[in-house]
Amino acid sequence: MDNILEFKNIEKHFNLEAGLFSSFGRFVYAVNDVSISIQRGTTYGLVGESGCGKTTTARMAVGLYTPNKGNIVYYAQNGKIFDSGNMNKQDLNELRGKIKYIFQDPSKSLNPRMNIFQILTSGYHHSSLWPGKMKARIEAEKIMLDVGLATEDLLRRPAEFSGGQRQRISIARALIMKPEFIICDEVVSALDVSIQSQILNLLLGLREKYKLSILFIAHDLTVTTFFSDRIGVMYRGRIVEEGSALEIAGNRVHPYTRLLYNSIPSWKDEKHEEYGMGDNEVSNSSEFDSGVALKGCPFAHRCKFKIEICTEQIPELRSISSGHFSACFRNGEI
Amino acid sequence: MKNFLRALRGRPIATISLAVLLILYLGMAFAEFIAPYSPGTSFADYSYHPPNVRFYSKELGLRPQVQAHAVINGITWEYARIQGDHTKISFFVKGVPYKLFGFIPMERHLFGVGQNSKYPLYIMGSDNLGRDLFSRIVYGSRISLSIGFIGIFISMTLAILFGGLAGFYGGIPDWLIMRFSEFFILIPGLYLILFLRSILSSTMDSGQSYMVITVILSFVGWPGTARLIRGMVHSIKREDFIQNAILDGIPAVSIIYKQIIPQMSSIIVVSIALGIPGFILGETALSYLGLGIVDPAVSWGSLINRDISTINNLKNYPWVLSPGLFLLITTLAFNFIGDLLRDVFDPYYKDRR
Amino acid sequence: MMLQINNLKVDFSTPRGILKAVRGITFNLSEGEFLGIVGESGSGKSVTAASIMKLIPTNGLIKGEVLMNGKNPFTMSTQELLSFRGSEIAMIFQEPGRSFDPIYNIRKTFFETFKAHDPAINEDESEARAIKLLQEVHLPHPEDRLGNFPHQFSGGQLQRIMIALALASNPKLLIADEPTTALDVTIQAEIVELLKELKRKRKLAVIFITHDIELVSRLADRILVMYSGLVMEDNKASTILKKTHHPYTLGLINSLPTFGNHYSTHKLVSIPGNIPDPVLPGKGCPFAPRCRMVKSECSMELPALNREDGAYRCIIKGPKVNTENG
Repeated sequence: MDNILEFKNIEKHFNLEAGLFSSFGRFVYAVNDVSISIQRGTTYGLVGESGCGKTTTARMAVGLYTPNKGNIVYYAQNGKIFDSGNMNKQDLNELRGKIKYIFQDPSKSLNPRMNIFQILTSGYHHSSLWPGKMKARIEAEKIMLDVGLATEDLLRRPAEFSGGQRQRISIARALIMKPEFIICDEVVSALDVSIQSQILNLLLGLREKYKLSILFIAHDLTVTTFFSDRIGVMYRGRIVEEGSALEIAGNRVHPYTRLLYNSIPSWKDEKHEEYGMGDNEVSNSSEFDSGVALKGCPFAHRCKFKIEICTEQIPELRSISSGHFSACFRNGEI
Repeated sequence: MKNFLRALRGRPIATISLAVLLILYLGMAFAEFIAPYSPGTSFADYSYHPPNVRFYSKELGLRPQVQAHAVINGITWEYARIQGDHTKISFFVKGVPYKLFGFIPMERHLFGVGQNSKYPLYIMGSDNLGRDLFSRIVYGSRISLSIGFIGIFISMTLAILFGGLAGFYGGIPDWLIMRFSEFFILIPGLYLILFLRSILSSTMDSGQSYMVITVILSFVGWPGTARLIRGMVHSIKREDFIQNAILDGIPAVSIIYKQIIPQMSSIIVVSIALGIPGFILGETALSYLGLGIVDPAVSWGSLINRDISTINNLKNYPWVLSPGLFLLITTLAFNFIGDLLRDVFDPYYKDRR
Repeated sequence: MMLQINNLKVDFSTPRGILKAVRGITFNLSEGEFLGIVGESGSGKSVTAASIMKLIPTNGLIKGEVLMNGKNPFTMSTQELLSFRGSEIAMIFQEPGRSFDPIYNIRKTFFETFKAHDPAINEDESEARAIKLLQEVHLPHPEDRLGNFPHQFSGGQLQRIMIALALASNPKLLIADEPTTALDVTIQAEIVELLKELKRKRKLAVIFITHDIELVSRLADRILVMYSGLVMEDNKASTILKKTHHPYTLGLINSLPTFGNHYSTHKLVSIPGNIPDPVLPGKGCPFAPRCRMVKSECSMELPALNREDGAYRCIIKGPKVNTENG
């Protein structure tokens, strides 16, 4: 198996207080023992609700956060291996040239005081690959056409574009340095419905053209299943179910994945005749305290299938079928 | 710029302030031409002479003229008018030769009574040595009006430098810089100024003391602005486009000063406008105490120094306070302009009106 | 008819010129009806809802007529308007966290709300009524939580409290402006279920504003599709998805994947282009530049609402089917 990115038993917690006189030992557990392998040339979808740790996981891949435990290994095209536990500043910069991060809100991720050409090339300019202004200009024009914008747009400023166009610029900015891997963090959730599909189609096309591997983060199970090859469902900093997109689409095992599925308002699916809480396997969505280290199953407090063991022991990911895992003690029973 | 003019339209006070500042700075640039005398020209027989410009007399009719006075008491410097003795004030008269801007040789002055007249022209009276106060105010504006710009330039540079670094890096650099700046904030400003002044040599020529004062005032002035900038850098750093820049491997210094600081240019412009009066007043305070500009150099502060502005003098010769009037007008004008700029840059302001 | 809206227009004066947010909207709502208004950002859906309660910024100008049980909020005095909001129509917003005063606890928030309509109320009475309302919106253990402050609740719980507050003076109509957009999908399902229950038990009419046509099709009796300040299609929820009359509605339905579709087997059909500039909307059909079925007449003049089989604003008669998706 040719993996491009591997998360190995990653754990990340944040200090609850900061400063000289803060008390130590109070943490928020954002990511708990997460292992993910992403194969070269595929799209991995990470899905979960807000606060589940999916963004933290992704940001660790580009070194915006350092994991407290475990390490992240990136296998570059040229054979070089980047290990988060053993990386100097130069390696990190090199890695950040290979992995590009696209943020959720395009209105915030573009510097409002720069024109599009400056936005596209500001990072490129400082990299060792900088080909000179003339050549960079030609490359920028080419990439603008690739993302469906005009070459004249290079001289305009972000405020002159609509949300969808800005997200195209964001994508162009990420692609200009020829990355091997891109992380799409909720790239369509801030956009209008009619624009979302434009961006998804664009990403599908660019993925082919630039031979990209993608980590796709979203809260929307439908979009993720559509866009990804493999899916990990995250809850409270843990992967609770993992499988290929087609398997998740056909057979959801973990109660949390089922809850997500039942919350999708779909009129086309006849099974969903009475949509609403009746189907939801949840009594009431009670709050959880993420400051306490997990003792049992992260979903136990909302799960209607819970048994005694669920609150005492953390379930491991167990295989359902080949390549399909679920972290539930009652796999297969329910 | 369009916004600026639009905001100016509904605000007569700001418009007047702008005009006043323009006149003052023009006066500063053309000081030699506008002042009838050089700041050192002394008429020893006419100490504490009252203002003597009149606009009407029976003999000369309605035109600017000088009413002659004679000393009646040489100890208290009491003066009496001499009936019927008037001298015309003429424009573009020949006077002491000078070099405009330091290189154009000229001898014409905007107005005066001519070189032959033994009796001087005192628009705003004279000081203890019989020097024309108005001329000294005009020359003094060179220091008083420029110290604000130079001072704010130095202190803003320090504030941006330290505030930017502290806000961007956070952690230990942030802690060190902020404690350092708090050290300056905690000590009462005047004591700090006096302390800094006293450790520097007390015998300096006017150019040196001007620079020393500017530097001292800048050192007292930067911490407040640095804290403001640090806070803003801290929040702008979290914006996605800065995260993008970090991920792109752009060097930190370039991110701070090319991408973060330009985002807050409006705030910097406003704090410059509102900060200038502080420097002018700071120089005044130092000079008043005799620690700033000293003779023969003149500044507005040195004109109202403690030797001249005694209670007794103020009672008998109230015109010696006229430099204070200029000071007041200038600081007010800068404050009004600062208010105007704040509203121009405030995106929510237009809705409220 | 409980609510009648006749030719409602809302203009905003902006530095760029007159922004026509709503360009003439007419619809009726009967008691206990659940109406969904669907549209993208800039379609004028939120402005329409806010102008029903005359909640428009000062640079806005409202024209047209709103009649709620015979009362017109546009001709009311400020005092009348205050009692009209709340007792006739109440509104809930997208981000419940921002609608609360962070320094008031929930007990105090309820007390202030009750007092606005009933100055004589005392604190015990207010507490009893608050608990009853909170039970109605299924907030667990309401009596223990009255002393809590807004930050101690989750987004879903705050939205429940927001709904309880909106119900405080028994309104006949609840306007919900994207009440679930900021919430997680699982919580969204619960809030939606709660709204349906309230509609059934209280005979409450609801105007539900959203950009998600699939969500609202499960809820509403009727759907209004808005685009560029105009009603594009108005029909029963059960028909609108199966017999779509407007190409824009069809585009909205097709532009998002259905669960289970995968990129390897299905193609997403997207609507090309962007929404029109609200300052210069042009004279023809606003959707014409993005429409796949566009004809040359489309950009000549604004099509009238075609009132057969519901209502739709398109010159091409009859239901539309997507030719590319099959």
